[in-house]
Amino acid sequence: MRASSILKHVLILAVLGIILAGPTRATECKPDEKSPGVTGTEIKLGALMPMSGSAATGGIFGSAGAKAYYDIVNDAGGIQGHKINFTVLDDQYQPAVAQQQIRTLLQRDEVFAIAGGEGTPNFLAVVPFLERSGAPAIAPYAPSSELGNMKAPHVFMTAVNYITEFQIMTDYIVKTYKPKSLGLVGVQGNVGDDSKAGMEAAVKGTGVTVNYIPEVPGTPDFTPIATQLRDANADWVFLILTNADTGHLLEAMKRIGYTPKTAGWAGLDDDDYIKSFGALSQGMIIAEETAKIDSKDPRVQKFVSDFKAKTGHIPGKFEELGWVEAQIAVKALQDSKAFTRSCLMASLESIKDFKTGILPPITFGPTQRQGVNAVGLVQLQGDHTVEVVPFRSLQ
Amino acid sequence: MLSSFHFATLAQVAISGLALGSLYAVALLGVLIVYQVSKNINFAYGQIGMVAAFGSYFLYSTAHLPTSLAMGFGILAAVALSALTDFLIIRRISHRPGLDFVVTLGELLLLTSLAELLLGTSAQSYLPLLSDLSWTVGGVFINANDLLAVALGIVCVAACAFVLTRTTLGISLRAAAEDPAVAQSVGISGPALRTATWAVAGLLVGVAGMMFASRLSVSSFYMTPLVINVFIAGMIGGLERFWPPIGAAFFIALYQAIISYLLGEAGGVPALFLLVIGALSVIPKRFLDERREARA
Amino acid sequence: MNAVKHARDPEFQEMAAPEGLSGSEASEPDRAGSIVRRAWRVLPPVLLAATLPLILSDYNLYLATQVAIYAIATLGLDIVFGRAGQLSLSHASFFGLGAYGAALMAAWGWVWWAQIPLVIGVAMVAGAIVAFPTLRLSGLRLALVTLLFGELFIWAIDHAGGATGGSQGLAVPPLQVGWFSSVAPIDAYALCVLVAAAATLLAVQMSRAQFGRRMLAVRDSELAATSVGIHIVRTKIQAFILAAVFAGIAGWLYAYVAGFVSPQTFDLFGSVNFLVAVILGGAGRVAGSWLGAVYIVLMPEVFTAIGYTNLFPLLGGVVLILVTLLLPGGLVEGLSRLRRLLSLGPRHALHA
Repeated sequence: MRASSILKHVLILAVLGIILAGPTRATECKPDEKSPGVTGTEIKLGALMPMSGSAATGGIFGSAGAKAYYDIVNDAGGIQGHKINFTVLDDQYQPAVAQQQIRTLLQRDEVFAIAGGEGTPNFLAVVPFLERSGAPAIAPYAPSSELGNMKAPHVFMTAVNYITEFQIMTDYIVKTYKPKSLGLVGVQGNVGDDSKAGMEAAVKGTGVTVNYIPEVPGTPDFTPIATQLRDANADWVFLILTNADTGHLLEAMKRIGYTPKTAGWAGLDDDDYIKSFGALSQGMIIAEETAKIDSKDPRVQKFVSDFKAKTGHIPGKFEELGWVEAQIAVKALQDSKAFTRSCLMASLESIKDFKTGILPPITFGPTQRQGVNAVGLVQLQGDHTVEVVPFRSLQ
Repeated sequence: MLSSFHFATLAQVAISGLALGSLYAVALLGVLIVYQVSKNINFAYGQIGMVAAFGSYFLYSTAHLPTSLAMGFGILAAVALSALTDFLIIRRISHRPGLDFVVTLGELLLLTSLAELLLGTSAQSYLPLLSDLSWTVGGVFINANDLLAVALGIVCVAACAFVLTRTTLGISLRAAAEDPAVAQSVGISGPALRTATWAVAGLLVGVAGMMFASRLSVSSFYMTPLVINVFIAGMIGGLERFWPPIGAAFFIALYQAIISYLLGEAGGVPALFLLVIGALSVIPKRFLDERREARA
Repeated sequence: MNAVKHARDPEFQEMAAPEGLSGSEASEPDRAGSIVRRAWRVLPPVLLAATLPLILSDYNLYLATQVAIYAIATLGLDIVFGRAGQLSLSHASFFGLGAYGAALMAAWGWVWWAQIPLVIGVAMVAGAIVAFPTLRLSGLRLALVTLLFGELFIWAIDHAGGATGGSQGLAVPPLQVGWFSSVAPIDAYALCVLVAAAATLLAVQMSRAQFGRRMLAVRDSELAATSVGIHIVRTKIQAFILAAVFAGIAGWLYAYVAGFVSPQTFDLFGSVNFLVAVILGGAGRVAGSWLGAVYIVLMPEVFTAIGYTNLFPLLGGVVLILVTLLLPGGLVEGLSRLRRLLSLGPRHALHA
């Protein structure tokens, strides 16, 4: 298993190494460079999100949150007189579809930059083409240890990768609840592998075992996985699947009489999920990457009231995520000396300690592409979540 | 990945496999009667079951109909759809062998896409249909839904066997299939009887579809892997027979359940594959040929 | 499987009674005439292929390249299904075999000229393996067994995650040979169109040769075919192997042009798509395979443009039903009927 994961890393390195021409120093802003997607009156931004399939809630609400923010900015006149034209294409959470759509966005629609995104396997599929084309990608929600570093220098990450997230979460659960064995069900590939690596790092030296079952998204029947988990006798089961798949897995587990304690990735703290599957998820520990909607932080409260004024309802977690992705893109555009891709890159690299309230403070740099490294924890009690650990980084 | 051996778990896996086999048998009955009466296969058969389940889901969750009414309408929709398939399409191509497959494949695509368009692409939880009722007997966890499935299987199989062999209706059906001209001459109306048979098949797959949905979840595509297993059971047992394919349906369900238990969920597909290849090599040639060319 | 009214199949008629020839040996002017006629028929597609890079944007040129790739694969399915009548639901797996072969060999650093014979070899073996259990089967059983092969392929990809990237997929580095790069739009287009032209010529030659007639005979009546001494088993296996090779080569090209492979492209729906392409275009016709390829590459773009990507299968379903019921010869038959209608029109008016 180790050898093949090394092979995969070498492969990605090789792929991107061929593509990477420039040296890894600060990107120089070239105001006279020709960049697509910018006219005298508008800037074209694009994103790929799952609008159908088992991950649809992420994409539908994420794009709604981003659109709300861009609408407010456009109502106020845009950025230096340029209105933002934001296109979202449906990648159905499938890498095959995403790698086709990125060409549509970058070659046919000729967007200036990619702003936001939702999902890891679908985003990873577009990275080679993205890097070749030289378009920056701003804050996609695609946690992965493959991103957030100079292997993919055009991708600016604000989503903590799953190694960090699950390490922090496992550390807390092991210290607080003292389980004997843990189960993990995760989307096959990078997502599951990273989560497993994080869990194993946290249990090192404690004698707690980690039992990993990879899952293919959109699986119709979760009974075999549920049976395997039950037989492995895990006290706690960690979950990182699409929300719909998580719910159906919990139902399958209940049907065979297996109800362990559960912990899951940040996307589960979502009103839609809680409404459909909250009864099965009571007491679940959930990672927290964005601030709670009822937070006392004045910036968060301003976001909630602005969002409500624009759309007429209180935002949910995915809308919050989409909103902050747009917020970061707009800040980078506002600070950019000119509307060219190199200047946008330079502007992104210069972001230091940017406080949105929604995310922990964001810092990028000439060689720093992981802007955020802190994660908090909440617990589902009743029909809402309660904070148990505030944002913290790995020690 | 060999998990540790627990008798209680094995027993539960076996019961669950038996329940699944019963549902496969119910669905298979529809395939058998359609094939034996009209010599056709409906590749969209599973989707007709999906219409019953997904349709009733829509009716009770969005239109807020009472669940029993929603289920009733779902079944009606499946029956109507199956009858219409015969009436509008199959009748036109029954004299051209082999086309039924292609045209019903088109119907499968059509129904899947329509369901996605109208009801979304996510899988939704369906009515529990007793799956929330359970007991632990001697350490073995028993789910009422499993018992319901087995009961349905027994009832449907027995009823079909009885009708086909002991009633005049059944005998006329088989007569009409054997020789339509002769059957017509003694007053047995071929086409009407055929459409009625397709309608009954719709009923059977509708019931099976709703039960499957209660055990898994309902989506536009959930029936496809299940109905593939049903067709495989028919293929192994022989679509012109009755008890061998029904037996094959139970066997496949138990076989897959136990393999998944022993080897993990990754074992299912290759195990099925090996079973089919094995069965094909062992079954004598004369049981396989479904085209009797000399007769043509 | 009598999917097509073969008796009226124009290619078949041409084989039986080539135009312009009486019973005796063709004379020199006649042969020159037929060469001119053939050149005249070939000229429009050649001109079109040559001018496209000049008028299309990079994005649309990429789509045209995809059409060429899918045409190669569709020609393959036409061989085994359109002509030999074997309903194969594993065609996308052969396509995927070539694609993943390219991805893996690229990861292992193999030179391009070593990859091609290996892809062909693996495809031949795969075609023979799939053909073997299906020899005694037809109809539903044949379709089910090929479907299971397809499922097995996807299972293997999903569960060999270390090497294949699993359900997440695998990036494929561009193929660079000197100045040629498989991700440069014009380079990719030229390569794929050339290979597609070669594949088309091969398919046409084959249909005119003994092999083509043997396949049609197997499709229409195995009993009659055996009675005239045609070796059924050999013909079926050859058809499957050819189909697999066409699809494998197409897959190899696809991997390097797209730069990414993932199992969802090569699953059951992928195989069904190829089937729709053959049936819609017109089974047993080379032009039909091209029309079908145009449909499966360009239609999804149309649906994405109107915002309903997942409606594409709906159209495929309607197409299959309507074509089977109303126009079994596919678009090719439809176009030739239209042509006849237009050319007969004035004459009808005269007689009216």
